[in-house]
Amino acid sequence: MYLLALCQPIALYFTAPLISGINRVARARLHNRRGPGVLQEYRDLFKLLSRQSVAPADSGWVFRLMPFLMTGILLIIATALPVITLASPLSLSGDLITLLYLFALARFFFLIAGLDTGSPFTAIGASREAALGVLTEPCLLLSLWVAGQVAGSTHISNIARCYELWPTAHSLTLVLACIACAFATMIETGRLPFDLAEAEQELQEGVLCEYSGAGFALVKWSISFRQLVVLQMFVGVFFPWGEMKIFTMAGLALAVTIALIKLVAGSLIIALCENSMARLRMSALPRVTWFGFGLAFLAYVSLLAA
Amino acid sequence: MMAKSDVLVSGHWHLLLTPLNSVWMVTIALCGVFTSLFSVVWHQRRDVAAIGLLSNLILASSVTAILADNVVLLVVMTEMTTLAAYLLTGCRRSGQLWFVLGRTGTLILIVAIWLLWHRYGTVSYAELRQALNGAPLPPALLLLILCGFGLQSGLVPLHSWVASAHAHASAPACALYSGVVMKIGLYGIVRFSLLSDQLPLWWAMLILIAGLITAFAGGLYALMEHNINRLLAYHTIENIGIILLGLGCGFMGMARHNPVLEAIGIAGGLYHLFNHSLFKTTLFLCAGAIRFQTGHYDIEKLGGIGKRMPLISLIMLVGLMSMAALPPLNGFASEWLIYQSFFRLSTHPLFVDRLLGPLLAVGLAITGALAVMCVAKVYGVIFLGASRTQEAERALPPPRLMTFSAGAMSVCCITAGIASPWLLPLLQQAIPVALHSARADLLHPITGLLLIAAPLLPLLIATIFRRDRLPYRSRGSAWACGYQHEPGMVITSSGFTQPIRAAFRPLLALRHVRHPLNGVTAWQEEWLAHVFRRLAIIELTILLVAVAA
Repeated sequence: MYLLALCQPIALYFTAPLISGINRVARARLHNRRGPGVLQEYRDLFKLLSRQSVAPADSGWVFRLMPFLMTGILLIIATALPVITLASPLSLSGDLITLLYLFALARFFFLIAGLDTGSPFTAIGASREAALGVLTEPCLLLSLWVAGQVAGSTHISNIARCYELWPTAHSLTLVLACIACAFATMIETGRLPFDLAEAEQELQEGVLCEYSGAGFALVKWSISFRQLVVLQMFVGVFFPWGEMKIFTMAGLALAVTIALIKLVAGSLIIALCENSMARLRMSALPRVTWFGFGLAFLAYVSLLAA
Repeated sequence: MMAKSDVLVSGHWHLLLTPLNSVWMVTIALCGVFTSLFSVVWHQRRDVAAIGLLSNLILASSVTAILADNVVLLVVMTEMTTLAAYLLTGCRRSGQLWFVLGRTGTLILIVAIWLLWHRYGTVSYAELRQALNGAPLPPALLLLILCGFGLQSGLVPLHSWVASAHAHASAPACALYSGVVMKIGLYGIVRFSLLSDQLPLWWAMLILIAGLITAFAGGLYALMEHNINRLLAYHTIENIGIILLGLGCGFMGMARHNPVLEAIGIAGGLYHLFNHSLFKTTLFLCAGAIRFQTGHYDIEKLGGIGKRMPLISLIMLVGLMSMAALPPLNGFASEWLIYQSFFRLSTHPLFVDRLLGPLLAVGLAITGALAVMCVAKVYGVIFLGASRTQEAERALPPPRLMTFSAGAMSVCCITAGIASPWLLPLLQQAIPVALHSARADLLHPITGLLLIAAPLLPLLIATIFRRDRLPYRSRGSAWACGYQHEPGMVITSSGFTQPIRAAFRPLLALRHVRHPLNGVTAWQEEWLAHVFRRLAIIELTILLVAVAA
């Protein structure tokens, strides 16, 4: 189990560029373009890693260390997720609250790195990212909380187990919680409905605008890693079928294949949604998140009434 | 916390050390020691006010208030503490509201004592407990006590004095207000609630709802401030609310006869009370050190100080991260326990409990996200980026003793976070029920270690793939669409919070509409502040003489 806890985050980390590469290709196909190829992200990262990092004179250690800290925190989150086994490999940090606060920790470093440049763009990017966090947090927490209530535990692998058993008395609650969490996942991965693939720098990823060279490579990588981790948290908990109950070598290959298929399918669905929906202005943020919270609230009501 | 049973400290004074009040004793002691060390340096400069006598008076009277074994001594000592604290507010105008509201609170408490005496013929806790014989206090009395002590501890409809009292006070005084003075009000509420083993359900629910409103409003208003003292004061309000949420869950457990819920709730509340004093003292001392070197409390006049005061910047980062309850620090440990108590509440079979539990958790989650945003704002605007004024540009590191006393508090924050699995069992004696029955497995210290180890992987990757990369360079100004970068382009604290201000506009307007001083014209007069100050000095002298006699 400890070996798995070590391998799983590293494997996820190295898969992250692949998933965002698939996303890129899917987007290009939807735009009727040919697209750069699935492995383009790896080539970009490899090239960027050998380039010099240049930072503004006002920036300091926060700006420089953020890529490492953010990746590190996400790696810890990745150890706790159910990917190929139902039980989380490192169950110490698999608690729902701990996971959400670890995400908050990653976001905190991301925000202060945005403020550490003196640039107006990075700071506005940070401000938007923070507001997004404040407004999606209730939706994410309430949907997972309600699912946890059905499972009788706040531990993420117990919630996954509950979804696998699917207690039919609570079907409606489980479905509503899943939809609300999917909504929050879409926003948390920084894709919908504010981000514009062609103008990322001015919108949610404004914080990245001063990074360059090797630093940029790591930040870019950690952003795609974050999208993967959030997606895996959603897929691993709400679609636990195919995850091993008992770890066996024979089941490993099958479980890995199923996990990969789930991730690819998830990212294709996300690509389809994000390329077929209208974009909104940032000022519409509260209205959209109210909608997500409304879904989670319905899940809560359906559990109360049950 | 080590005290196994009740110990009579001194017969003449009617003092009693119990496991419950020893939690407050440890809190006051830690906060008091390092604040006093800090003020040694603070007094070396001419332009800062001497506060030694009054802050010692605050510490002494608050300790007596906590140790008192009867209601009268508790109220008298609380009164002395708040009067001494009022005299420390620095500028006369800013303490005015505190004086008026504090005295109102005391009057309400006197009425409550009179009712108690009238009804039960005694004022000592032990005899009251006997007289009550397990039945709860009557509702009118409980409400009076909540109002009276709520005014002292800044519950949200009664909180308007808190921010202005902190605004111009010196750093050690602020640390004492948040760490000691406001905690006594909480002690009063807990003390009276625990007089009987059976609490009414409405009381627990009232405490929970008051706590939720207090936490959310405190967090939201803090985000809008740019005077660092006022901002931290609003965060104190927020944390008082979070403590009440934990305690309220514990009371809910008592009302429902659910010992596990009771244990987790009360332990969470008490641990947060202790942790809040640790990180709030750290923060106020750091803010004081910055004020000492630059002369500014307004964060928009600072900026880029991190390079000039690296140690203070690191200490303040620890304090801010614990305030936002980020793992693995102490604020997270106690908030985690409070979340767990909410979860126990929501899995309870009764309808009201299932209704309340998830809503409370959502409220606490929004508050937490607001706190993360606020903390990022404070750290970013004070320590990072470019300097906004000359004073900030020329700032020097503060004297060593200042750095040491703030640093020691931040080390306490880290310890209380990482070592929480060992510290929490110590709280057990303060709670009627054993905590281990709750089987709450906290964030393990291993995660703290992992947090340090995990960033090595990207570092390794960056080293392996470096090939012929040139070294890191930091030069020139930030990109501004091709225009020349100007200092005016750098974001301000109000610019950073604009999206939240837009989203919560109606709630923020409420505080201006409902301000208690709307329409009172005499309030701005100079003589009023003088009269209040004289009255406070006279009352304090009378009380001192009466106590000494």
